[in-house]
Amino acid sequence: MKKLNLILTIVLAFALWSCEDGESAFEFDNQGTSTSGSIAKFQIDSKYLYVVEENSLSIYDVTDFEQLSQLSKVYVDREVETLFRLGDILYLGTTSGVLFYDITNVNQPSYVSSYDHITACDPVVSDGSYAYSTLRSSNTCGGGSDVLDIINLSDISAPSLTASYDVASPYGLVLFDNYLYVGQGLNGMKVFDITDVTAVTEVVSYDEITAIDFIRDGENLIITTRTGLVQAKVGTDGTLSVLSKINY
Amino acid sequence: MKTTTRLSRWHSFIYTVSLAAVMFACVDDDVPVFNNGYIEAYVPIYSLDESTEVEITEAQEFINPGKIYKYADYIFISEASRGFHIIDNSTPSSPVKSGFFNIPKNNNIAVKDNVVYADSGFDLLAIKIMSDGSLDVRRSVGMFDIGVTGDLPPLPGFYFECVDDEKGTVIGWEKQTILDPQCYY
Repeated sequence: MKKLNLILTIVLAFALWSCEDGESAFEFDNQGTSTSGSIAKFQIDSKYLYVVEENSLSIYDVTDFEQLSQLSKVYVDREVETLFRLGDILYLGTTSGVLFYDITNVNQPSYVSSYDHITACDPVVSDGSYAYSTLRSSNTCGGGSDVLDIINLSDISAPSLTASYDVASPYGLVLFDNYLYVGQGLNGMKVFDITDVTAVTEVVSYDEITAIDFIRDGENLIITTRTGLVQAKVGTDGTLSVLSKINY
Repeated sequence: MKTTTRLSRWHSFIYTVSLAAVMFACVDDDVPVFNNGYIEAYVPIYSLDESTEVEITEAQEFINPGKIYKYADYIFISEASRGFHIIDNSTPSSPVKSGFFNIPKNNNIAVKDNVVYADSGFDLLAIKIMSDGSLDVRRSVGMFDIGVTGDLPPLPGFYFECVDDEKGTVIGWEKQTILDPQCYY
């Protein structure tokens, strides 16, 4: 009998152990929503999933995952690359400008306005007052400029250019309090002080961090680069202290 | 003689207009310079067998990492057309690559309450991660027009070998040094 007990105990322990082992690889025991970098095409909140395709914007109800339903889909006569959301405004980064959509009525997103330019565009982020959009035209035969555009949204029906700054090969970007971080691929990355948007100053640049995109994580930045994943703590002066790196 | 002069002027005019048109097109279109000889470029990887398995596997090598996402203490890095890498970021100073979420033809995700919303070709998937680690996959067929990213490399700003549909479905990209890639994104 004792032997049997022992065997049972071992079997039970083994069963528990293997069960634990199965879960330790993945434990998504979490509520909440994901956040994404600035080159994303999906955005989500507690109720809705927003998706941009090359020529459209669609909204899905994700209240119940078993009953996913498309609430609306509007066609966009542009080449859409990225999606950013703040409150009831969606910011679409396209190859010919930034488009603003009001999603107060998720069943019928309405086009508000656009900030247009002629060359290729990359992502856009916003703090509500201003939109920050990078414009990359490196490698083009026209040799157009690579710039960071700051767009005034005080009247979102008539967005206007506040300032434009030269930044070599800009990719993704992220706002962090009074600082703006811009990835530049092979050219590294730059940190700007945007306290006064009409007089933006470069705080520091990091040639060795060949940044593509960013996510703010509390007091840290998660950075994808051409060679790996970098995490860094942001100092009060906007400078970075690298915490870790996973090489690709 | 008069005819010749007119013709010559006409030619000159055409030449000027053509030149202006070429220059205008050059500046207006975002067309990079091609025929650069051997340069680094993305090359499509075509599927040989159409795997439809949605599953969580052990960690895998980065091949064409792209977009990033943060969810709770995890960082996800998309792997072009294959799914995404899962990184346990409980300690940002020592993140651990802990697994891979295999989703065929996937390029974009968003996560809410343990449900991963992911594109898979033309379909939108809602994948619930159950408490026992199993997956409950709901597929909404044909939600996308051309697949969310179509046949483009994971990141913009690179030359790539143009996709040949007859070779199959593109399931990934790898960087190689190739002669005169004719596509750019």
